[in-house]
Amino acid sequence: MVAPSTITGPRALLLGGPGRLPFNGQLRLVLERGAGALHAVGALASSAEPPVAFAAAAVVRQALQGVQGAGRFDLLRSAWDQLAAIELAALGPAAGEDLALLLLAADADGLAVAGTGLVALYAWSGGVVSELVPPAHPLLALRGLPAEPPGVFTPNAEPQRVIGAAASGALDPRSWPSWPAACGFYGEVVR
Amino acid sequence: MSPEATRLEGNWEAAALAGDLQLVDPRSDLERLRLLVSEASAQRCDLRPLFRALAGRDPIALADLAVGPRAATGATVLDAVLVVVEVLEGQVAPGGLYQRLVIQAAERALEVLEVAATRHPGAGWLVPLADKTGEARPGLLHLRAAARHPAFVQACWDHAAAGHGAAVEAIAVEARRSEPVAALVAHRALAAARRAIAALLEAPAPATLAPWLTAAWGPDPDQLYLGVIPHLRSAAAAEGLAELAGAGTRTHRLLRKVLPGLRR
Repeated sequence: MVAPSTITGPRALLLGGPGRLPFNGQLRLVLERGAGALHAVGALASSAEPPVAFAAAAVVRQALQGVQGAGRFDLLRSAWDQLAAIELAALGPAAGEDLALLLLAADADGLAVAGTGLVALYAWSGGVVSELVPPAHPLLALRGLPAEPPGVFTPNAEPQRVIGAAASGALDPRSWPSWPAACGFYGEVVR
Repeated sequence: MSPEATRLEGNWEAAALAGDLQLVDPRSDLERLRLLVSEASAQRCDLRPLFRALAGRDPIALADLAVGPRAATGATVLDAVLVVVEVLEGQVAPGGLYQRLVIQAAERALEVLEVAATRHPGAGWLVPLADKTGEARPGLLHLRAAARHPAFVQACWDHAAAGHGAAVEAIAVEARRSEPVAALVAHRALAAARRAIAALLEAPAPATLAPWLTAAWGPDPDQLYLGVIPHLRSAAAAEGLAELAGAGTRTHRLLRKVLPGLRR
């Protein structure tokens, strides 16, 4: 097991969608807040023209920049609060109904996972990808922006990274020759 | 005077070459017409009046003479074919027609490709055709013709997939468009993509550049942008890249170090 403190880069990844622009409308950010960190990845308005999708993703990204909190649960609650304040019309043609979002909050005590618009979650540790939650897990049931902060999943074993599959065009990362690239994640060096 | 010249000066031949088909039955006289076209081509006679007349009278016979398996070749034949190409397209599927014409045209294949691209800017068959014409940057002629066509993005993707990265890079810079750069990124022609980004940044970059690049690369294009830095030629471009990458990125931090060394 890799110690969480040695993991660099984003810990939340989202598989790209189908089509020629797999990452249209995707956003990803890592926020360090004191001893905690929030890793967020999402996608919305992916079927819109890139400028429209990009603008919608920027709205979500901007909202998440305002997240505050001391621990993982506070960070997640703050994230949902920030998102709830967004004007839905700014979230693209579907007004946020097509939002897929994976939030990972980490602190010294462990990891907490939440999300919406997801159909599968995978854990990646030591180069091995495995299912993080079963298909019927409540974490996979939510669609769109929730009115109230949804439930939180706390994995017993902390994976290095978590990969989400969005409702639109989800793919099993284990079928990909290079799942990180399928998530738009290229490690440290790309030539 | 050669026998061929004498033959061309016969009443029937001269009239046909002038586009007067009163004495001609294109179907029953097809072999005589074929001989006429062949001899006229050899003597570099203008065949355009004859082809125009045949286009109006019997397009099937015209297609046989112009692009059939036994069609004559030569400069004047090609000149005449290009005048009636719209009629020929009614007889032969355009993809096959232009492929045939490119072969017939030999060193003038680019002229054929230009006509094809102008008439069918959205056609997928132009992509493999570009490799058969001797075009310096295969695909560029097509991409130029398609730049204002709805199929432009698809054409960029197809040419990038076909390995025509030089053309896709060129059209990105010429047309100042983001889509070709995204096509290069999507097909991992990253060196070409980075050169194109650097070139686009020499003037205010298209506002759509970041959206298209992010959509093709992924939500964190910092690594893509880092590779653009060696291609930058001015401080203005460096400032543009810093803005594109955004504050807090490695690209932004590195640019702050190299900016003083770049000319203003």
